Amino acid sequence: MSILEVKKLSKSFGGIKAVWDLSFNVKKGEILSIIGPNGAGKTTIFNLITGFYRADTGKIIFSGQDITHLNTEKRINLGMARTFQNLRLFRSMSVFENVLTAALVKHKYGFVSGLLRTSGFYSKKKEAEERARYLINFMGLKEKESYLATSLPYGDQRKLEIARALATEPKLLLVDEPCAGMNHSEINQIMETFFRIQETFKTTMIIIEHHMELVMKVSERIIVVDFGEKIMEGRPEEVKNDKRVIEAYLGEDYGVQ
Amino acid sequence: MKLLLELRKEIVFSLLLYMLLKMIFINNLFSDYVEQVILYTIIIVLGSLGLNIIYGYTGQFSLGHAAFYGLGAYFSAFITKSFSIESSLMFIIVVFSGGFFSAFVAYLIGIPILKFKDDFLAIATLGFGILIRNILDNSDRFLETLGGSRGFVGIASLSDLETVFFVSIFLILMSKNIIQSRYGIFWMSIRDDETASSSVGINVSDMKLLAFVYGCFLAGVAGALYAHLYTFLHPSNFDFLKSVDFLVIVIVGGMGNISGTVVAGVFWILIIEGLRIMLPAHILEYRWVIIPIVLIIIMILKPYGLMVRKRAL
Repeated sequence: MSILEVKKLSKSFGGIKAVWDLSFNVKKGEILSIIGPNGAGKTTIFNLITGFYRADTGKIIFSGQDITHLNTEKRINLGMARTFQNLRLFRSMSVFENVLTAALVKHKYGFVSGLLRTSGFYSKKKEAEERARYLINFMGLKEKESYLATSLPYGDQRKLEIARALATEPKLLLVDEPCAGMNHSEINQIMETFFRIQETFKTTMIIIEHHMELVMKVSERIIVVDFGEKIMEGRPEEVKNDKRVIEAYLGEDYGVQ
Repeated sequence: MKLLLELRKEIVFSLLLYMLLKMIFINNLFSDYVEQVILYTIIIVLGSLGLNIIYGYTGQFSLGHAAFYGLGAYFSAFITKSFSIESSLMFIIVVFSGGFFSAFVAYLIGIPILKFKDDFLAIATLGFGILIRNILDNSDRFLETLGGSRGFVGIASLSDLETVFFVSIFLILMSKNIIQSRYGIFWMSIRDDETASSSVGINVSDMKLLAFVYGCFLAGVAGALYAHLYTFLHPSNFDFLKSVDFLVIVIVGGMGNISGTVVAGVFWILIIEGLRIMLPAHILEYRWVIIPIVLIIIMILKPYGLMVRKRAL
C-alpha cells in the first residue's frame, strides 16, 4: 500500500526544468532513497512534496488524500516532517526547546488557556515535555539537552533536526542529506538511527543522500534522478549495476566494485 | 489556583510596590507632576511590552506602534465622554474596550501587511502610523468631539494609581504566561526561522497575526489609561516619534525580555523627565544632547539590551 503517490509532477524556474514529469510511489514503512548528481532536482522534489514550492503540473497524494493544493503546515499536520540540507534550527533556543516547539504543535490548548493557565495547559505542557525528552534521549542528545542548539557539533545538530522532525509524529519523514559533513562513525550512527526510527515509530522515510554506502545499506528502493527526470528506479543492487546510473552519477569505479 | 502559586513572587512584589507607591501618593511626598510621571511610566512600560511581543519575540519590525496606542486613547476617551462614565468599574471596562478596538484595527490591517518582512514591514507600518496621524488631525470633520488638530479636551480624569497599576500588572503577568506557553515559543521560533517553523507545522501567518493583535491590544489599553491620566489628547502625541520611543525601550531593554522592557521603560522616562527637573532652565534643551549620548553608550556596552547576558543570536 502506498503512503505517497507522486504523479507526473513538474516544476520549472524560469527556463529551467527543475523537476520534469516525475512519478513514483512510496510504500508504507519502507526507506526510499533519492540519489543523483548535484542540481538534479532532489531538494526541489522535497520542497514540492512538503509544499514549500507549488507544482506547475501533476498531483501529490498522501495517505489517500490529494494534497497538491494544501499549504505546508496543513501537509505537516497530516503527518509529514522534513529536515533541511542546510540546517535550520531555532538558533536562540536550547536543544530541549527546539524539540519542545515541534511537540507543542500536536499538544494543543487555546490562547485563553495559555493566558490563565487552566488545567488543560498543564496537562498538555507535561505531555509535550515528556515527548520532547523521550525523543532527545532517543537521538542520544540527553546530556546536551540544555545546550544552545547552534553550539552543538555539526553531527549533533543533524540529529537534533531529526528529533525535532519526529516530534511532529510523522507517518512520512523526509531527510535531506543527513550525512553531509559527517565522519565515518557518525554516519554509522545515523544509519543505525534510521533502522531504529523505522522499527520504533513505523515511520516511512525518504532520504536524499550522496553517501553511497549508507544509501545501499538502508534503502529498500532507490530512485535516481538527473536533470529533473527519473532515470531509474529499483532495488540497490539493480541500481548499482545499471549502465545509465553509472554513466550519470556513480561513475565506472563504483559500478565495478 | 496553581497559577497564583506560581506567580506568588511576582504578586508579592507587585503588592509591596503598590504599597510603596500608595504611601508616596497619600502623603504627597512629591508634586502632582511627579505622581503623573510615575503613572505615565507604568503606562509606557505596558505599551512597550506590546511592541516587545511584536518585534522582540516575533521579529516583526513595526514603526507604527504609537498609532495603536493613539487609537486606544481616542476610542476610550470618546466612550467615556459620550456616556459620561465616572465609576471606576465602568472605567476598567472602557480601558479594555480601548485595547480591543486597537486589536480589532490591528487584525484588519495585519492581514494584508504582515505578509511583508523586515524593512518592508517597517515601511508599511510607518505608512499606517502616518495615516492614523492624519485621520486624527482631521477627526473633527467626522466627529466633532475628537477635536482634530485642536486636540481632544475635557476627558474625565479617571486613571488613578489603582486602575493604572493593577490593570498594567495584570496584563504584564498575563503576557508572561502567554510567552511561556506554546504561543510564546511559536513566536520565538518564527523570529528564529520562519521556514523551519512551518516545517514543524506551525501556522506562521496566523501566529504572526496573533502576536501583532495581542501587542496592539496592550498598546490600546496603555493608550486608554494615558487618555484618562492627562485628560487631553493631541495627534502629535501619537506620531512617528512616539513609535520610536517604544522602539528605543524595547531595544535598550533587550529583544524578547519582559523585565528588560520594564527596566528600560522606567529608565527612559526617568532620564527624559528627570533631566527636565534636574537641569537648570537655561540648559534644559541640552537633554537632547545628553540622552542620545547615553543611548549610544548603552548600545556599545550592552548591544543585546540592559537585561540580556551576551549570547549567540
